Amino acid sequence: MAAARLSESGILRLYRGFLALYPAEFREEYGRELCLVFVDRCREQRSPAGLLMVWLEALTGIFFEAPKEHWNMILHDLRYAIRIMRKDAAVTVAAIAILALGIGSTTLVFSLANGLLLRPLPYAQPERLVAVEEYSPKDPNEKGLVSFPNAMDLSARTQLLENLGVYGGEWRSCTGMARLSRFLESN
Amino acid sequence: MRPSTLSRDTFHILVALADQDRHGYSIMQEIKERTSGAVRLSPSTLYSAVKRLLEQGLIAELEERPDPEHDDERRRYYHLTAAGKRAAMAEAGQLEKLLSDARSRGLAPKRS
Repeated sequence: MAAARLSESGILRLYRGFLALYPAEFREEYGRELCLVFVDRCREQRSPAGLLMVWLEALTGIFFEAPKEHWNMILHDLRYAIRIMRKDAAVTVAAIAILALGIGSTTLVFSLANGLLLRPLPYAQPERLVAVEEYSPKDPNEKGLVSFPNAMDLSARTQLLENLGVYGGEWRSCTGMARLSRFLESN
Repeated sequence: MRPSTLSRDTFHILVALADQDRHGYSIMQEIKERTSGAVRLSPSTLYSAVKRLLEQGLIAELEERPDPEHDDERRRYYHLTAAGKRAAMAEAGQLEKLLSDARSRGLAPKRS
């Protein structure tokens, strides 16, 4: 008798586990009833084959009905949301505007973070790229741009850098065109 | 002809509740016995249908159990509402008409 009770409680635990496939709302409403009916059906079986049949029917039912219940819940929630939105149009418009602002600003921040911090630079082996700046020997905090002649000297003598490029945001006058031509040819 | 609005399982449940109020297991047993085992509802199919029928107002849950002395107090009893009776009668009428059409075309045995 104790063994029978034990196996029945084990079967019930297993069946309850499968009921987890249902939406929580359905489970709370009908879970206990489903378990009662399932146990009744198991008790009326006289053979292992009959018990197996009950299990097969129960599992087939769960696998067919649980997705339908999820879908019904989604439809129910959607219908409710649309009804509420139609009832108070001003609040709906304000909510949509706030959502649009929120999504827009989040997208902007992510685009900036992605472009500046996350996405690698569009060059081969970007981890080998370095920026060269000049520091004043008198004051290490005073840093500035590399002058063009210094850049050409660095390019000619450096053993650390494989190559050196120069860019600037302003028009500059250059002197020493012969050196410039050599620099451009070598880069 | 108005298209049928009740599924086969739903109609069976309404028929099971036509003569008396029943709990879930009793509904399943009644259907099984009445159809000689041809229609067997699983607990999941039964309660999904019960949920829909309750939402549609075709059946209702009883406040009190009909026979509290001889059953499990955890069980819920359901009974057929007036709307449920009308829906079941309309469905039966449609099936009767369909059977009559089939009979007149030789697809079903003539009434003796």
